[in-house]
Amino acid sequence: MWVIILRYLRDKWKTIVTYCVAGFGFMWIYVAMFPSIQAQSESYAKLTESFPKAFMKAFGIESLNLDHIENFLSIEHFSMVWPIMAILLVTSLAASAIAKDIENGTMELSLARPIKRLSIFFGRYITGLIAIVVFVITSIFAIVPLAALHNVSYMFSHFVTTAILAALFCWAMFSLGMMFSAFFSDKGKVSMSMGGLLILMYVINIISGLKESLQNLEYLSFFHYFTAENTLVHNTLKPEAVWVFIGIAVACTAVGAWRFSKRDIAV
Amino acid sequence: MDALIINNLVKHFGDTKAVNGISFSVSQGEIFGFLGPNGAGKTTTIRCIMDFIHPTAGSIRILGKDTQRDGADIRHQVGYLSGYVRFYGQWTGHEHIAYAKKLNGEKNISDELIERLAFDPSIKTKNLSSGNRQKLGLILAFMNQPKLLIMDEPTNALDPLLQNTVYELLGEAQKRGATVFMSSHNLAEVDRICTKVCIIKNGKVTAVKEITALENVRVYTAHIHLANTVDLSMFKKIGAEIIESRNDYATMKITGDIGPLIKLLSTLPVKDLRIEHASLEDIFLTFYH
Repeated sequence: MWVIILRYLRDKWKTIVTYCVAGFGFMWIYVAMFPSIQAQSESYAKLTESFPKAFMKAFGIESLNLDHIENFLSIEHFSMVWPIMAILLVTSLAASAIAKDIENGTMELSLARPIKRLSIFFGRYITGLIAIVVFVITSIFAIVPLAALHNVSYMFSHFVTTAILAALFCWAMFSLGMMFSAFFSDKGKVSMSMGGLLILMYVINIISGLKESLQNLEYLSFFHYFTAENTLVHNTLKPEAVWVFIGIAVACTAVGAWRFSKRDIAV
Repeated sequence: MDALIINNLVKHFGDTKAVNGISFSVSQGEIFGFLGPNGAGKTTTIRCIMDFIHPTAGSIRILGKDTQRDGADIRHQVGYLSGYVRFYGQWTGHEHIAYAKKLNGEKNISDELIERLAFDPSIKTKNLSSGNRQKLGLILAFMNQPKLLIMDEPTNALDPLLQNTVYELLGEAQKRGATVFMSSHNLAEVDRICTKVCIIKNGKVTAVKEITALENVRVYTAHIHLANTVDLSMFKKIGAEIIESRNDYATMKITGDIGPLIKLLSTLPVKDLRIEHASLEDIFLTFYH
Protein backbone atom coordinates (compact mmCIF):
# COMPACT_ATOMS: atom_id res chain seq x y z
CA MET A 1 0.00 0.00 0.00
CA TRP A 2 2.95 2.31 0.66
CA VAL A 3 3.79 2.24 -3.04
CA ILE A 4 0.32 3.56 -3.82
CA ILE A 5 0.48 6.20 -1.07
CA LEU A 6 3.91 7.51 -2.05
CA ARG A 7 3.09 7.51 -5.76
CA TYR A 8 -0.20 9.38 -5.27
CA LEU A 9 1.51 11.88 -2.96
CA ARG A 10 4.13 12.46 -5.63
CA ASP A 11 1.41 13.04 -8.22
CA LYS A 12 -0.55 15.40 -6.00
CA TRP A 13 2.16 17.37 -4.19
CA LYS A 14 1.77 20.40 -6.44
CA THR A 15 -1.96 20.56 -5.74
CA ILE A 16 -1.41 20.14 -2.00
CA VAL A 17 1.34 22.78 -1.89
CA THR A 18 -0.80 25.21 -3.92
CA TYR A 19 -3.70 24.94 -1.48
CA CYS A 20 -1.39 25.19 1.52
CA VAL A 21 0.25 28.32 0.12
CA ALA A 22 -3.20 29.77 -0.61
CA GLY A 23 -4.36 28.94 2.93
CA PHE A 24 -1.23 30.50 4.42
CA GLY A 25 -1.58 33.51 2.12
CA PHE A 26 -5.19 34.20 3.10
CA MET A 27 -4.31 33.92 6.77
CA TRP A 28 -1.47 36.38 6.20
CA ILE A 29 -3.85 38.88 4.55
CA TYR A 30 -6.30 38.70 7.45
CA VAL A 31 -3.66 38.87 10.16
CA ALA A 32 -1.92 41.77 8.40
CA MET A 33 -5.15 43.77 8.13
CA PHE A 34 -6.36 42.92 11.65
CA PRO A 35 -4.63 45.78 13.57
CA SER A 36 -6.45 48.40 11.47
CA ILE A 37 -9.75 46.50 11.78
CA GLN A 38 -9.25 46.19 15.53
CA ALA A 39 -8.89 49.95 15.80
CA GLN A 40 -12.41 50.33 14.38
CA SER A 41 -14.00 47.42 16.23
CA GLU A 42 -16.44 49.67 18.11
CA SER A 43 -17.89 51.03 14.85
CA TYR A 44 -18.36 47.49 13.57
CA ALA A 45 -20.08 46.47 16.81
CA LYS A 46 -22.58 49.36 16.43
CA LEU A 47 -23.16 48.33 12.83
CA THR A 48 -24.12 44.86 14.01
CA GLU A 49 -27.01 46.22 16.00
CA SER A 50 -28.71 47.40 12.79
CA PHE A 51 -28.57 43.92 11.17
CA PRO A 52 -31.58 41.57 11.48
CA LYS A 53 -30.84 38.80 13.99
CA ALA A 54 -32.03 36.09 11.56
CA PHE A 55 -29.60 37.36 8.92
CA MET A 56 -26.70 37.17 11.35
CA LYS A 57 -27.71 33.69 12.47
CA ALA A 58 -28.10 32.50 8.90
CA PHE A 59 -24.46 33.29 8.23
CA GLY A 60 -23.26 31.96 11.58
CA ILE A 61 -22.34 35.36 13.01
CA GLU A 62 -23.29 36.17 16.58
CA SER A 63 -21.78 39.64 16.69
CA LEU A 64 -19.35 41.79 14.79
CA ASN A 65 -17.12 42.13 17.79
CA LEU A 66 -13.75 42.44 16.11
CA ASP A 67 -11.53 43.24 19.04
CA HIS A 68 -9.89 39.80 18.93
CA ILE A 69 -8.24 38.05 15.99
CA GLU A 70 -10.34 34.93 16.71
CA ASN A 71 -13.62 36.84 16.18
CA PHE A 72 -12.30 38.47 13.05
CA LEU A 73 -11.06 35.20 11.52
CA SER A 74 -14.20 33.28 12.39
CA ILE A 75 -16.31 35.86 10.52
CA GLU A 76 -14.05 36.75 7.62
CA HIS A 77 -12.02 33.63 6.98
CA PHE A 78 -13.67 30.54 8.40
CA SER A 79 -17.26 31.34 7.47
CA MET A 80 -16.59 31.35 3.72
CA VAL A 81 -13.03 31.45 2.29
CA TRP A 82 -11.48 28.60 4.27
CA PRO A 83 -14.41 26.16 3.77
CA ILE A 84 -14.38 26.87 0.01
CA MET A 85 -10.65 26.14 -0.17
CA ALA A 86 -11.13 22.95 1.85
CA ILE A 87 -14.07 21.81 -0.30
CA LEU A 88 -12.14 22.40 -3.54
CA LEU A 89 -9.08 20.56 -2.23
CA VAL A 90 -10.88 17.45 -0.96
CA THR A 91 -13.15 17.27 -4.01
CA SER A 92 -10.14 17.46 -6.31
CA LEU A 93 -8.27 14.77 -4.36
CA ALA A 94 -11.27 12.44 -4.15
CA ALA A 95 -12.26 12.80 -7.81
CA SER A 96 -8.68 12.15 -8.97
CA ALA A 97 -8.18 9.20 -6.65
CA ILE A 98 -10.55 6.78 -8.39
CA ALA A 99 -12.94 8.27 -10.97
CA LYS A 100 -10.32 10.18 -12.97
CA ASP A 101 -8.11 7.09 -13.14
CA ILE A 102 -11.01 5.01 -14.45
CA GLU A 103 -12.03 7.74 -16.90
CA ASN A 104 -8.49 7.95 -18.29
CA GLY A 105 -8.08 4.18 -18.45
CA THR A 106 -5.00 4.32 -16.20
CA MET A 107 -6.61 2.36 -13.38
CA GLU A 108 -5.73 -0.81 -15.33
CA LEU A 109 -2.03 -0.10 -14.65
CA SER A 110 -2.65 -0.76 -10.97
CA LEU A 111 -5.38 -3.39 -11.35
CA ALA A 112 -3.12 -5.55 -13.53
CA ARG A 113 -0.56 -5.74 -10.70
CA PRO A 114 -0.62 -8.11 -7.71
CA ILE A 115 -2.41 -5.75 -5.39
CA LYS A 116 -5.90 -5.89 -3.91
CA ARG A 117 -8.47 -3.31 -4.90
CA LEU A 118 -8.91 -2.32 -1.27
CA SER A 119 -5.20 -1.51 -1.06
CA ILE A 120 -5.57 0.81 -4.06
CA PHE A 121 -8.62 2.46 -2.47
CA PHE A 122 -7.11 2.89 0.97
CA GLY A 123 -3.68 3.83 -0.42
CA ARG A 124 -5.25 6.81 -2.12
CA TYR A 125 -7.58 7.44 0.81
CA ILE A 126 -4.66 7.69 3.21
CA THR A 127 -2.89 10.04 0.81
CA GLY A 128 -5.96 12.27 0.91
CA LEU A 129 -5.94 12.22 4.72
CA ILE A 130 -2.26 13.19 4.75
CA ALA A 131 -3.06 16.09 2.40
CA ILE A 132 -5.91 17.19 4.69
CA VAL A 133 -3.67 17.15 7.78
CA VAL A 134 -0.96 19.13 5.98
CA PHE A 135 -3.52 21.66 4.67
CA VAL A 136 -5.22 22.10 8.05
CA ILE A 137 -1.92 22.57 9.88
CA THR A 138 -0.51 24.97 7.29
CA SER A 139 -3.63 27.06 6.87
CA ILE A 140 -4.67 27.26 10.54
CA PHE A 141 -1.40 27.21 12.45
CA ALA A 142 -0.07 29.85 10.07
CA ILE A 143 -1.39 32.10 12.85
CA VAL A 144 1.71 31.26 14.96
CA PRO A 145 4.40 32.89 12.76
CA LEU A 146 2.04 35.49 11.28
CA ALA A 147 0.79 36.74 14.65
CA ALA A 148 4.39 37.14 15.79
CA LEU A 149 5.23 38.95 12.56
CA HIS A 150 2.36 41.44 12.92
CA ASN A 151 2.39 41.65 16.68
CA VAL A 152 -1.12 40.29 17.10
CA SER A 153 -2.13 38.39 20.24
CA TYR A 154 -4.06 35.14 19.91
CA MET A 155 -5.26 32.14 21.92
CA PHE A 156 -3.36 29.08 20.71
CA SER A 157 -5.77 26.56 22.27
CA HIS A 158 -8.65 28.08 20.29
CA PHE A 159 -6.79 27.40 17.06
CA VAL A 160 -6.07 23.84 18.16
CA THR A 161 -9.80 23.25 18.73
CA THR A 162 -10.58 24.84 15.36
CA ALA A 163 -7.99 22.66 13.62
CA ILE A 164 -9.61 19.52 15.10
CA LEU A 165 -13.06 20.58 13.86
CA ALA A 166 -11.63 21.62 10.48
CA ALA A 167 -9.85 18.27 10.06
CA LEU A 168 -13.06 16.38 10.91
CA PHE A 169 -15.04 18.54 8.47
CA CYS A 170 -12.49 17.84 5.69
CA TRP A 171 -12.38 14.13 6.55
CA ALA A 172 -16.17 13.80 6.26
CA MET A 173 -16.24 15.69 2.95
CA PHE A 174 -13.29 13.74 1.56
CA SER A 175 -14.94 10.43 2.50
CA LEU A 176 -18.13 11.56 0.81
CA GLY A 177 -16.07 12.45 -2.28
CA MET A 178 -14.27 9.09 -2.23
CA MET A 179 -17.62 7.34 -2.09
CA PHE A 180 -18.82 9.24 -5.17
CA SER A 181 -15.46 8.56 -6.83
CA ALA A 182 -15.91 4.81 -6.24
CA PHE A 183 -19.37 4.90 -7.83
CA PHE A 184 -18.65 7.02 -10.90
CA SER A 185 -16.27 6.56 -13.83
CA ASP A 186 -16.07 10.26 -14.57
CA LYS A 187 -14.25 12.93 -12.57
CA GLY A 188 -16.79 15.55 -13.61
CA LYS A 189 -19.66 13.60 -12.08
CA VAL A 190 -17.85 13.43 -8.74
CA SER A 191 -17.24 17.18 -8.73
CA MET A 192 -20.82 17.89 -9.78
CA SER A 193 -22.26 15.60 -7.10
CA MET A 194 -20.05 17.05 -4.38
CA GLY A 195 -20.69 20.62 -5.50
CA GLY A 196 -24.44 20.08 -5.77
CA LEU A 197 -24.72 18.42 -2.39
CA LEU A 198 -22.61 21.01 -0.58
CA ILE A 199 -24.47 23.93 -2.19
CA LEU A 200 -27.71 22.28 -1.11
CA MET A 201 -26.36 21.93 2.44
CA TYR A 202 -25.26 25.56 2.45
CA VAL A 203 -28.69 26.74 1.29
CA ILE A 204 -30.41 24.50 3.85
CA ASN A 205 -28.24 26.03 6.57
CA ILE A 206 -29.20 29.56 5.53
CA ILE A 207 -32.92 28.77 5.14
CA SER A 208 -33.05 27.04 8.52
CA GLY A 209 -31.74 30.22 10.12
CA LEU A 210 -34.23 32.46 8.36
CA LYS A 211 -37.44 30.66 9.32
CA GLU A 212 -38.10 29.14 12.71
CA SER A 213 -40.38 26.41 11.35
CA LEU A 214 -37.51 25.14 9.21
CA GLN A 215 -34.94 25.29 11.97
CA ASN A 216 -34.60 21.51 12.30
CA LEU A 217 -33.34 21.31 8.72
CA GLU A 218 -30.03 22.68 9.96
CA TYR A 219 -29.12 19.20 11.20
CA LEU A 220 -28.92 18.06 7.57
CA SER A 221 -26.13 20.47 6.76
CA PHE A 222 -22.37 20.06 7.30
CA PHE A 223 -22.22 23.83 7.75
CA HIS A 224 -24.39 23.66 10.84
CA TYR A 225 -21.73 21.51 12.49
CA PHE A 226 -18.77 23.44 11.09
CA THR A 227 -19.15 26.64 13.07
CA ALA A 228 -15.75 28.20 13.60
CA GLU A 229 -17.28 30.73 15.95
CA ASN A 230 -17.78 27.98 18.56
CA THR A 231 -14.23 26.73 18.32
CA LEU A 232 -12.28 29.86 17.53
CA VAL A 233 -14.15 32.36 19.72
CA HIS A 234 -15.52 30.16 22.52
CA ASN A 235 -13.02 27.30 22.28
CA THR A 236 -15.79 24.70 22.43
CA LEU A 237 -16.07 21.64 20.27
CA LYS A 238 -19.65 20.37 20.16
CA PRO A 239 -19.77 16.58 20.60
CA GLU A 240 -22.61 16.32 18.06
CA ALA A 241 -20.34 17.88 15.41
CA VAL A 242 -17.56 15.43 16.21
CA TRP A 243 -19.84 12.40 16.05
CA VAL A 244 -21.67 13.51 12.90
CA PHE A 245 -18.42 14.09 11.02
CA ILE A 246 -16.86 10.83 12.24
CA GLY A 247 -20.06 8.91 11.48
CA ILE A 248 -20.35 10.27 7.94
CA ALA A 249 -16.65 9.70 7.29
CA VAL A 250 -16.74 6.08 8.45
CA ALA A 251 -20.03 5.27 6.66
CA CYS A 252 -18.99 6.86 3.36
CA THR A 253 -15.56 5.21 3.50
CA ALA A 254 -17.09 1.79 4.09
CA VAL A 255 -19.63 2.19 1.27
CA GLY A 256 -16.95 3.58 -1.10
CA ALA A 257 -14.48 0.77 -0.34
CA TRP A 258 -17.17 -1.89 -0.76
CA ARG A 259 -18.33 -0.40 -4.06
CA PHE A 260 -14.79 -0.09 -5.46
CA SER A 261 -13.98 -3.69 -4.60
CA LYS A 262 -17.15 -4.99 -6.26
CA ARG A 263 -17.64 -2.79 -9.30
CA ASP A 264 -16.70 -3.36 -12.94
CA ILE A 265 -13.80 -1.21 -14.00
CA ALA A 266 -13.53 -0.67 -17.72
CA VAL A 267 -12.95 2.31 -19.95
CA MET B 1 -2.13 -28.82 -16.69
CA ASP B 2 -4.30 -26.04 -18.05
CA ALA B 3 -2.99 -22.53 -17.44
CA LEU B 4 -6.38 -20.94 -18.10
CA ILE B 5 -9.83 -22.48 -17.81
CA ILE B 6 -12.94 -20.53 -18.74
CA ASN B 7 -16.12 -22.31 -17.76
CA ASN B 8 -19.49 -21.12 -19.07
CA LEU B 9 -18.54 -17.45 -18.82
CA VAL B 10 -21.45 -15.04 -19.12
CA LYS B 11 -21.17 -11.27 -19.00
CA HIS B 12 -24.18 -9.04 -19.57
CA PHE B 13 -24.23 -5.24 -19.51
CA GLY B 14 -27.90 -4.57 -18.89
CA ASP B 15 -29.71 -6.08 -21.87
CA THR B 16 -26.51 -6.45 -23.89
CA LYS B 17 -25.14 -9.98 -23.84
CA ALA B 18 -21.45 -9.26 -24.43
CA VAL B 19 -20.32 -12.79 -23.60
CA ASN B 20 -22.92 -15.51 -23.54
CA GLY B 21 -21.70 -18.78 -22.07
CA ILE B 22 -18.24 -19.44 -23.44
CA SER B 23 -16.02 -22.29 -22.31
CA PHE B 24 -12.50 -23.27 -23.33
CA SER B 25 -9.14 -24.02 -21.79
CA VAL B 26 -5.56 -23.09 -22.61
CA SER B 27 -2.80 -25.60 -21.92
CA GLN B 28 0.44 -24.59 -20.27
CA GLY B 29 3.12 -23.57 -22.76
CA GLU B 30 0.62 -22.89 -25.52
CA ILE B 31 0.32 -19.72 -27.62
CA PHE B 32 -3.41 -19.43 -27.86
CA GLY B 33 -5.09 -17.08 -30.32
CA PHE B 34 -8.41 -15.51 -29.43
CA LEU B 35 -10.14 -14.29 -32.56
CA GLY B 36 -13.37 -12.75 -33.61
CA PRO B 37 -14.86 -9.76 -35.38
CA ASN B 38 -15.27 -6.41 -33.63
CA GLY B 39 -17.87 -6.58 -30.87
CA ALA B 40 -17.62 -10.36 -30.60
CA GLY B 41 -16.75 -10.19 -26.88
CA LYS B 42 -12.96 -10.63 -26.96
CA THR B 43 -12.04 -7.60 -24.84
CA THR B 44 -14.88 -8.30 -22.40
CA THR B 45 -13.56 -11.84 -21.94
CA ILE B 46 -10.02 -10.55 -21.40
CA ARG B 47 -11.25 -8.02 -18.82
CA CYS B 48 -13.09 -10.82 -17.00
CA ILE B 49 -9.89 -12.89 -17.04
CA MET B 50 -8.01 -9.95 -15.52
CA ASP B 51 -10.86 -9.44 -13.00
CA PHE B 52 -11.36 -5.83 -14.10
CA ILE B 53 -15.01 -6.72 -14.60
CA HIS B 54 -16.94 -9.44 -12.83
CA PRO B 55 -18.73 -12.22 -14.71
CA THR B 56 -22.52 -12.38 -14.58
CA ALA B 57 -22.10 -16.16 -14.36
CA GLY B 58 -19.43 -18.79 -14.85
CA SER B 59 -15.89 -19.06 -13.56
CA ILE B 60 -12.32 -18.43 -14.64
CA ARG B 61 -9.33 -20.25 -13.24
CA ILE B 62 -5.72 -19.24 -13.84
CA LEU B 63 -2.95 -21.65 -12.88
CA GLY B 64 -5.46 -23.53 -10.76
CA LYS B 65 -6.76 -20.48 -8.85
CA ASP B 66 -10.07 -18.67 -9.07
CA THR B 67 -9.62 -15.16 -10.51
CA GLN B 68 -12.27 -13.56 -8.33
CA ARG B 69 -11.11 -15.09 -5.07
CA ASP B 70 -7.34 -15.07 -5.59
CA GLY B 71 -7.02 -12.21 -8.09
CA ALA B 72 -4.14 -10.34 -6.47
CA ASP B 73 -2.20 -13.55 -5.86
CA ILE B 74 -2.70 -14.73 -9.45
CA ARG B 75 -1.47 -11.45 -10.91
CA HIS B 76 2.02 -12.18 -9.55
CA GLN B 77 2.18 -14.72 -12.38
CA VAL B 78 0.37 -12.75 -15.07
CA GLY B 79 1.63 -10.19 -17.57
CA TYR B 80 -1.06 -8.06 -19.20
CA LEU B 81 -1.15 -5.86 -22.26
CA SER B 82 -4.31 -3.88 -22.87
CA GLY B 83 -5.72 -3.34 -26.33
CA TYR B 84 -6.27 0.29 -25.34
CA VAL B 85 -2.97 0.90 -23.61
CA ARG B 86 -3.13 4.12 -21.53
CA PHE B 87 -0.51 5.72 -19.31
CA TYR B 88 -0.17 8.61 -16.89
CA GLY B 89 0.79 11.45 -19.21
CA GLN B 90 3.00 13.18 -16.64
CA TRP B 91 5.01 10.07 -15.82
CA THR B 92 8.01 8.92 -17.84
CA GLY B 93 8.47 5.37 -19.04
CA HIS B 94 10.97 4.90 -16.21
CA GLU B 95 8.35 5.92 -13.64
CA HIS B 96 5.83 3.46 -15.04
CA ILE B 97 8.39 0.68 -14.96
CA ALA B 98 9.50 1.59 -11.41
CA TYR B 99 5.86 1.60 -10.24
CA ALA B 100 5.31 -1.87 -11.72
CA LYS B 101 8.57 -3.13 -10.20
CA LYS B 102 7.59 -1.95 -6.73
CA LEU B 103 4.15 -3.53 -6.94
CA ASN B 104 5.39 -6.84 -8.32
CA GLY B 105 8.41 -6.96 -6.05
CA GLU B 106 10.14 -9.61 -8.14
CA LYS B 107 13.04 -9.99 -10.51
CA ASN B 108 12.55 -8.31 -13.84
CA ILE B 109 14.15 -7.93 -17.24
CA SER B 110 12.99 -4.40 -18.01
CA ASP B 111 16.48 -3.14 -18.96
CA GLU B 112 16.89 -5.93 -21.50
CA LEU B 113 13.45 -5.25 -22.95
CA ILE B 114 14.12 -1.51 -23.19
CA GLU B 115 17.19 -2.30 -25.27
CA ARG B 116 15.55 -4.91 -27.49
CA LEU B 117 12.53 -2.74 -28.23
CA ALA B 118 14.69 0.38 -28.68
CA PHE B 119 12.54 2.30 -26.21
CA ASP B 120 13.53 5.61 -24.61
CA PRO B 121 12.10 5.48 -21.05
CA SER B 122 13.14 9.02 -20.11
CA ILE B 123 10.32 10.67 -22.09
CA LYS B 124 6.98 11.58 -20.50
CA THR B 125 4.38 9.24 -21.91
CA LYS B 126 2.15 12.11 -23.10
CA ASN B 127 4.88 12.80 -25.67
CA LEU B 128 5.18 9.21 -26.92
CA SER B 129 3.95 8.00 -30.30
CA SER B 130 1.40 5.18 -30.41
CA GLY B 131 4.14 2.72 -31.36
CA ASN B 132 6.28 3.76 -28.38
CA ARG B 133 3.29 3.50 -26.06
CA GLN B 134 2.79 -0.04 -27.32
CA LYS B 135 6.47 -0.75 -26.60
CA LEU B 136 6.06 0.47 -23.01
CA GLY B 137 2.94 -1.68 -22.66
CA LEU B 138 4.93 -4.69 -23.87
CA ILE B 139 7.79 -3.98 -21.44
CA LEU B 140 5.31 -3.81 -18.54
CA ALA B 141 3.72 -7.08 -19.64
CA PHE B 142 6.94 -9.04 -20.19
CA MET B 143 9.23 -7.54 -17.51
CA ASN B 144 8.39 -9.95 -14.70
CA GLN B 145 8.69 -13.03 -16.90
CA PRO B 146 5.14 -14.12 -16.06
CA LYS B 147 3.83 -17.65 -16.37
CA LEU B 148 0.78 -16.40 -18.26
CA LEU B 149 0.70 -13.52 -20.75
CA ILE B 150 -2.69 -12.01 -21.52
CA MET B 151 -2.33 -9.77 -24.55
CA ASP B 152 -4.94 -7.82 -26.46
CA GLU B 153 -3.53 -7.03 -29.91
CA PRO B 154 0.18 -7.21 -28.94
CA THR B 155 1.60 -5.95 -32.23
CA ASN B 156 -0.89 -3.14 -32.68
CA ALA B 157 0.85 0.04 -34.01
CA LEU B 158 4.26 -1.65 -34.32
CA ASP B 159 6.33 -1.67 -37.50
CA PRO B 160 7.19 -5.06 -39.10
CA LEU B 161 10.67 -5.16 -37.51
CA LEU B 162 9.28 -4.67 -34.02
CA GLN B 163 6.49 -7.11 -34.74
CA ASN B 164 9.20 -9.70 -35.34
CA THR B 165 10.84 -8.76 -32.03
CA VAL B 166 7.50 -9.33 -30.29
CA TYR B 167 7.13 -12.72 -31.99
CA GLU B 168 10.63 -13.57 -30.74
CA LEU B 169 9.68 -12.51 -27.20
CA LEU B 170 6.54 -14.61 -27.35
CA GLY B 171 8.54 -17.57 -28.64
CA GLU B 172 11.09 -17.17 -25.85
CA ALA B 173 8.31 -16.94 -23.27
CA GLN B 174 6.86 -20.17 -24.63
CA LYS B 175 10.29 -21.85 -24.48
CA ARG B 176 10.64 -21.07 -20.77
CA GLY B 177 7.20 -22.64 -20.22
CA ALA B 178 4.98 -19.57 -20.22
CA THR B 179 1.50 -19.61 -21.72
CA VAL B 180 0.32 -16.88 -24.05
CA PHE B 181 -3.31 -15.93 -24.53
CA MET B 182 -3.61 -13.27 -27.20
CA SER B 183 -6.31 -11.63 -29.22
CA SER B 184 -5.49 -10.39 -32.67
CA HIS B 185 -7.06 -9.14 -35.85
CA ASN B 186 -3.89 -9.98 -37.75
CA LEU B 187 -4.72 -13.46 -39.08
CA ALA B 188 -1.30 -13.90 -40.70
CA GLU B 189 0.23 -13.26 -37.26
CA VAL B 190 -2.06 -15.83 -35.65
CA ASP B 191 -1.17 -18.33 -38.38
CA ARG B 192 2.51 -17.68 -37.74
CA ILE B 193 2.75 -17.87 -33.96
CA CYS B 194 -0.32 -19.51 -32.46
CA THR B 195 -0.65 -23.21 -31.84
CA LYS B 196 -4.37 -23.15 -31.14
CA VAL B 197 -7.19 -20.69 -31.68
CA CYS B 198 -10.60 -19.95 -30.27
CA ILE B 199 -12.99 -18.06 -32.51
CA ILE B 200 -15.76 -16.10 -30.85
CA LYS B 201 -18.74 -14.43 -32.48
CA ASN B 202 -21.69 -12.62 -30.88
CA GLY B 203 -20.44 -13.64 -27.46
CA LYS B 204 -20.33 -17.36 -28.27
CA VAL B 205 -17.51 -19.68 -29.20
CA THR B 206 -17.83 -20.84 -32.80
CA ALA B 207 -14.69 -22.97 -32.91
CA VAL B 208 -11.70 -24.03 -30.83
CA LYS B 209 -9.12 -25.66 -33.06
CA GLU B 210 -5.45 -26.44 -33.46
CA ILE B 211 -3.92 -24.36 -36.22
CA THR B 212 -2.88 -27.58 -38.00
CA ALA B 213 -6.49 -28.79 -37.88
CA LEU B 214 -7.67 -25.53 -39.37
CA GLU B 215 -5.18 -25.92 -42.18
CA ASN B 216 -6.78 -29.29 -42.96
CA VAL B 217 -10.25 -27.82 -43.17
CA ARG B 218 -11.25 -28.17 -46.81
CA VAL B 219 -12.42 -24.83 -48.12
CA TYR B 220 -12.21 -24.17 -51.86
CA THR B 221 -12.73 -21.11 -53.99
CA ALA B 222 -14.01 -21.92 -57.52
CA HIS B 223 -13.89 -19.41 -60.38
CA ILE B 224 -16.27 -20.68 -63.10
CA HIS B 225 -16.66 -19.24 -66.58
CA LEU B 226 -19.61 -20.72 -68.44
CA ALA B 227 -20.56 -20.61 -72.13
CA ASN B 228 -23.88 -19.01 -71.27
CA THR B 229 -25.84 -17.66 -68.32
CA VAL B 230 -27.23 -20.30 -65.97
CA ASP B 231 -29.44 -20.25 -62.89
CA LEU B 232 -27.03 -19.90 -59.95
CA SER B 233 -29.52 -21.38 -57.50
CA MET B 234 -28.39 -24.84 -58.60
CA PHE B 235 -24.97 -24.10 -57.04
CA LYS B 236 -26.60 -22.95 -53.83
CA LYS B 237 -28.47 -26.25 -53.68
CA ILE B 238 -25.19 -28.16 -53.41
CA GLY B 239 -24.03 -25.83 -50.58
CA ALA B 240 -21.84 -23.42 -52.54
CA GLU B 241 -21.69 -19.80 -51.38
CA ILE B 242 -21.74 -17.36 -54.28
CA ILE B 243 -19.16 -14.66 -53.64
CA GLU B 244 -19.38 -12.85 -56.96
CA SER B 245 -21.37 -13.35 -60.16
CA ARG B 246 -21.89 -11.50 -63.42
CA ASN B 247 -23.56 -12.91 -66.58
CA ASP B 248 -21.64 -16.10 -67.40
CA TYR B 249 -19.02 -15.84 -64.63
CA ALA B 250 -19.22 -16.79 -60.94
CA THR B 251 -16.87 -17.08 -57.97
CA MET B 252 -18.04 -19.33 -55.18
CA LYS B 253 -16.80 -20.86 -51.96
CA ILE B 254 -17.28 -24.54 -51.20
CA THR B 255 -16.70 -25.96 -47.74
CA GLY B 256 -16.17 -29.70 -47.40
CA ASP B 257 -16.52 -32.25 -50.23
CA ILE B 258 -15.96 -30.77 -53.68
CA GLY B 259 -17.44 -33.82 -55.47
CA PRO B 260 -21.01 -32.45 -55.90
CA LEU B 261 -19.62 -29.33 -57.59
CA ILE B 262 -17.55 -31.35 -60.06
CA LYS B 263 -20.57 -33.51 -60.79
CA LEU B 264 -22.75 -30.46 -61.42
CA LEU B 265 -20.15 -28.76 -63.58
CA SER B 266 -19.93 -31.88 -65.78
CA THR B 267 -23.52 -31.16 -66.85
CA LEU B 268 -22.86 -27.50 -67.68
CA PRO B 269 -21.10 -25.79 -70.63
CA VAL B 270 -17.90 -24.80 -68.80
CA LYS B 271 -15.54 -22.49 -70.73
CA ASP B 272 -12.95 -22.11 -68.01
CA LEU B 273 -12.50 -23.36 -64.45
CA ARG B 274 -10.06 -22.57 -61.65
CA ILE B 275 -10.32 -24.15 -58.18
CA GLU B 276 -8.08 -22.98 -55.31
CA HIS B 277 -7.60 -24.11 -51.73
CA ALA B 278 -8.66 -21.28 -49.44
CA SER B 279 -5.96 -19.54 -47.37
CA LEU B 280 -5.98 -19.87 -43.60
CA GLU B 281 -7.28 -16.30 -43.53
CA ASP B 282 -10.29 -17.34 -45.61
CA ILE B 283 -10.85 -20.26 -43.25
CA PHE B 284 -10.87 -17.90 -40.29
CA LEU B 285 -13.33 -15.69 -42.09
CA THR B 286 -15.73 -18.60 -42.61
CA PHE B 287 -15.98 -18.82 -38.83
CA TYR B 288 -16.43 -15.03 -38.57
CA HIS B 289 -19.37 -15.18 -40.97
